[in-house]
Amino acid sequence: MNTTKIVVIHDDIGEKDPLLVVLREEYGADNVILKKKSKEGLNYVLENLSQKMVVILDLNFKAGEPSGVHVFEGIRKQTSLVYVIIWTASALEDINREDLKSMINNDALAFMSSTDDIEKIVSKVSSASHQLDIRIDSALEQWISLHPESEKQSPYILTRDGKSYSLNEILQEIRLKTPFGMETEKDILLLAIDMLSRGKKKIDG
Amino acid sequence: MANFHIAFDHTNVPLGLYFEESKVDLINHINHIIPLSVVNEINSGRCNQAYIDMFIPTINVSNFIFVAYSHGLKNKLTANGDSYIESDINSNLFTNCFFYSMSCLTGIDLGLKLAKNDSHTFIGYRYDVNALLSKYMKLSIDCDNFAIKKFIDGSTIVESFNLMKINFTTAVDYLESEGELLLASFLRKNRDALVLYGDGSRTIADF
Repeated sequence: MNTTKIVVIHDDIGEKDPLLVVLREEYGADNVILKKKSKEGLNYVLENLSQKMVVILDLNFKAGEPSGVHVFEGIRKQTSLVYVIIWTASALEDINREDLKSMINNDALAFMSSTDDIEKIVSKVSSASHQLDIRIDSALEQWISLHPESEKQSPYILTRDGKSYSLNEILQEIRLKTPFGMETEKDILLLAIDMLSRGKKKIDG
Repeated sequence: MANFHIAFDHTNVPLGLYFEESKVDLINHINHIIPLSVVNEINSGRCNQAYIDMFIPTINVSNFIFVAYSHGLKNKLTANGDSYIESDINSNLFTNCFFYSMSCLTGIDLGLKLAKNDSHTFIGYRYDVNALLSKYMKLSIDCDNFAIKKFIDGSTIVESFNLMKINFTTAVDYLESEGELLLASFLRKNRDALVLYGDGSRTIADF
């Protein structure tokens, strides 16, 4: 299974920040990415939607850079399957009411204060990473990764309304929660229930 | 001897090949089991309402079998971007008919209307369904054609329908054993989308 990428979008910390050091020990240096410019951070997330990702997002950026809320909304326009932890120096009461509503209604995973212990933040990341591991799209990704790249990109299934999907496209559809993606996710669960109900204790593959 | 009328949208992109192969598979079986049958092939050029409205009244005084391999919506079968059989337009023409539709969704409304319009029986899908490709296309077509073939072999319609579901389950387990979990999940969905309306007691001898 692909390891979870931790993307920290924050302009006030450096590569040697204790949080990054701890996260890199836990998840590997290549899997923890710091983006100090919010626009670059948003672009990185959107360009890597096929990967499991937890984003730690600051709210306040320097003038000229999109705000954290803007980045958060940009991610949510594309996917609800990236976990976002808000990590801010702002007190909750200082955050714009509409921004707060937007973050709560669009499933921000947690609000962490910059004064919180590193262990507390790492624990949240660990919990988010575990949630990613047990999701259907993650299990599917693991299964798809066993196929050669040429097979992943070839037409795999044809719906009788005439649309074809490759394995990579199916994964993307699930991650973007399109109607086909949600239907496929349901189909996978129903297959598991069907096989278990017929006494197939072990599912191969 | 039985009368088969098979609509297949062979020029459809991208499903034309699948529809064509489905039709060929069925005709091979008909020719093998009951070679004296009448088989009328209704290709894309004739899958239109004008042809259906003109032709079906000439055959519907006797029992006949109508098979459809084309796109479908809940209340219609479509080809060339238009409906050729539609619930409130010409489904009433299908009297004395065993209607076998391998299209998406037609089990929701069109199938009910056909069964109500003295069509003896309807078998079809009530959900969006999928066609498997490349090395599993034959398996997918075998699953689609299973009931109509069993019916040709001599089983009643309801027996054929039940055997079709069992065959789908066998195919699901086979795909799972091959490591094809996703394809297995799509075929399971196809199986559970199957519906049978109307009189299931008839056999090929009635047609």
